[in-house]
This record gives sequence, C-alpha cells and structure tokens, in this order.
Amino acid sequence: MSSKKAVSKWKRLQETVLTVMLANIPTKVIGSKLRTFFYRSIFAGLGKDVYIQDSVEFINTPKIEIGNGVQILRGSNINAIGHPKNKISIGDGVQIQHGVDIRALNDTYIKIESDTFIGPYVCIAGPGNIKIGKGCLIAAHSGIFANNHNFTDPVKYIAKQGITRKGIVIEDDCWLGHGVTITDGVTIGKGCVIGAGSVVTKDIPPYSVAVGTPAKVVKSRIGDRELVNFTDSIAKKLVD
Amino acid sequence: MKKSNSKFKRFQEVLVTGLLGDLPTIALGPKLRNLIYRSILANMGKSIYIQNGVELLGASNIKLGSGVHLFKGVRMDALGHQNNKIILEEGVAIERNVDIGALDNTQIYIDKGTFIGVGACVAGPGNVKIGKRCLIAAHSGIFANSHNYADPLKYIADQGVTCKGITIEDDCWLGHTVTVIDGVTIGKGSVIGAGAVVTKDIPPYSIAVGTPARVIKTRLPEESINPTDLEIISRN
Repeated sequence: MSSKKAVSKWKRLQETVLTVMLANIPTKVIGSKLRTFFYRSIFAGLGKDVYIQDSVEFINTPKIEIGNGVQILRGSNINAIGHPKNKISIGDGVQIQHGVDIRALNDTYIKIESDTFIGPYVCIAGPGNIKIGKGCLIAAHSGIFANNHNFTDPVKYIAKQGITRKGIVIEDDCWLGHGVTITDGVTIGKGCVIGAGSVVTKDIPPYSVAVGTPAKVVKSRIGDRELVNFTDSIAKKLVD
Repeated sequence: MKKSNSKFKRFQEVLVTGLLGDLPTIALGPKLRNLIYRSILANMGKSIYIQNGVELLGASNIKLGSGVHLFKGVRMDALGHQNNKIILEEGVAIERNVDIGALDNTQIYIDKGTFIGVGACVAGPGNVKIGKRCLIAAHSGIFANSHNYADPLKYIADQGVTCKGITIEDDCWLGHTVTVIDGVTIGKGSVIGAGAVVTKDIPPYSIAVGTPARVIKTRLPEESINPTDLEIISRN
C-alpha cells in the first residue's frame, strides 16, 4: 500500500514539474509541440496531432485521456483530482475553447465523445458522471453540473446538507445555446436544440427544440414522423 | 502629500504583485505570497492560499481573513476611490476567473465560509454584502448598479447609474448564471434557481425561480416554526 502511495506521489511530482515547466511556453515558440511531446509520459493517453495552447492547466494527468486531433485553447482547466477512480476522457477531434473548466471532483467519470465543440468559459463538473455524445455544440457560458444541493432542513446550512449525484447524459448531435444550464439527473436525447439561457431540469426527448426556464419542448425537429423510422432513414443516408 | 503616499503604495503593490504574482506552487509561490502580500494588503489573516495568476488592484483597501482561498485568474479591483473596500472574511473561497470590482466609493463584504463559483462577477458601485456560508454558483452576476435611460436623446452610457446596493443574507444558494439586480435583498436561507434574474426582494427561506424571479415555495414547514430554532443557524 505504501509503495502504491509512493508511486502516486512520484507521478504527481513528475506531473507538476512537467506542467509548470511547459504550460506557459507561448504556442508560437513551438510550445504546443513541446507540450504534446513531453506530456505523453504523464497522461493516461494522448493521441496524435493534439494542439494545446499556453496556460492550459491539467491536474491529476494519469486520470486524463485525450484523443487524436484534440484542440485545447488558452486558460482552460482540466482537473481530475479528488478521488482515485476519477476519470476524464476527451474523444478524437474535440475542440475545447478558452477558459473552459472541467472538473471531476469525487469518484466521477466525465466522457466527451468525438468531434464535440465546447465554447468559451463553459463549466462541466461532477461529482455525478457526465457523458456528452458525438458532434455536440455547447455554446459559451453554459454550465453542466451533475450535482444539486439538498436543502430540506431549514435549520441547517445548505452547504452542510450534502448533494445529489445522479449524473447527466447529453446524446449525440445536440446544440446547446449560450448560457444554458443543465441540472443533475437530466438526459438530453439525440439531436436536440436547447435555446440560449434555458435551464434544463427534466429529460428532453430526442430531436426536440426546448427553450425557457425551466426548459419546455416547443417543437420537434422530426414533426409527427415516427422516431424509429426517422433514425433508420438517417442511418441509411449516412451509409449511402 | 496624501497623493504621493498613495502613488508610493501603488508602486509597492505593482512591484510586489509583479514579482510574486505568477510564481507557481512548486516554486513556493503561495507561501511567499502569504508572507509578503501582508506588506501591501490592508489586513491579512493566517494561512491564506493565493494561487498564481491572481490579480489584486488597490491592495491597500483589500482585507483577507484567515484561510481565504483565491484561485487562478481571480481579479479583485479596489482602485477608483479612496473609500473602496473589499473584505473577505474567514474561509471564503473564490474560484477561478471570478471578478470582484468595487469601482466607486463601494464596500464589498463577503462573510465567513462563502463560496463563489467559477467566472462569477461581483461589482459596485453600490455596496454589496454577502452573508455567511452562501453558495454562489458559476457565471452568476451580482451587479449593484443599473443604467439610467430616461432620456432617449442621450447615450445610455452618459446617463449615469443607480447604486442602491445588494444584500444577500446568510445560507443562500444561487444556482448557475443567476443575475441579481441593484437594490435587491435576498433573505436568509433562500434558494434561487439556475438562470433566474432577481429584480425584487426575496423573503427569507424562499425558493425563487425564473425571469424575473418569483417565489414558488418556502423552505419552512407549514405549521409555524419556532423562531428560536432558526436562530440556531446563525450561532452555528
């Protein structure tokens, strides 16, 4: 057990030294190339053609996995510290814009699948698990928080009453507008559009357009057509 | 004389923060800042954690209590007026990229154990008071100023602002992207739903949601509760 602890301490030291030395080298001075070359040794996985701008912060890198062609812009923070089972996985071709904050917190798996776009200053935080599907567009200032404070007892501080951690799923091909909030326990079906400023508190069926606080479905992108047939026809188109 | 004194203070502040502000943890940055920032801040408690990349402007008007945590990208600006004050009491935690600006003759007071989430903005020029153990989620905006726009012939930007002030009492939870407008008081123990815009006072122990925020529930049980029970909370 103690040797395991020593290994993790050694890893943490290695991570700190490497990230501190390399994180702030300007991208123009081949900073990104240097970072991806040396970071490979401290990450759980780091694909090909990854582009990491300067002042991007990674914490607990042995639990962070980055796919091929991922782009991470300035000032982002990806933090997997807090529990030995934490994991953050970023799929191929994902774009993370500047100032994005992704943190696992406690026994959490955050998975972002391929070709998804995360806009500037978006926050994604556990401790519930979070899965964001393929090809999603998440606009600036959105917040995806897989935790809710309990507040049933008025004589105790809210901060002391613990939190829920049901988890959030956003399926493939969803577009979240500017400043959208997703609360804990929500599943957003495939192909949904969520209007700017909406607060999503309940599950949204696939191919819906939902807006407002709390978000209500105002339209379906597939009209009255049967969902099963529709997705089948899309699948056919894609194959052709 | 007074002016040259304040100029010297500003010079001292620029020098100290410029030299130490970006030292990372591995180079003992937080330890050094904990020691040496004492010379430029109005008051500083014990074991304060200031991460690299924190910006403190007008430090001689900023007071930090024991155990305060300031994370990367936090910017606290007390410049602009000699009476400006930013006071963070014991154990306040300010997350990454939070912006706290006093602006003009303003006191911003954040009481013990309150948490302010990523990218939130707190700004004067009205006074802002946030109570004990509040939870302010990411991207929230607490702005103690509203633009006047009575005259359509003038630029709105030229018509001045209100500065009535904002009070958020103890034990409140503000969800993600909540906006609090100038002149509002949010009573103790209230919960404000994500995305809400609070334009009017909220009574204690309410749950309020929407734009504009409306009270939809109370956290108190239906039978009248013994007020002394509620007082326990303030003593804890």
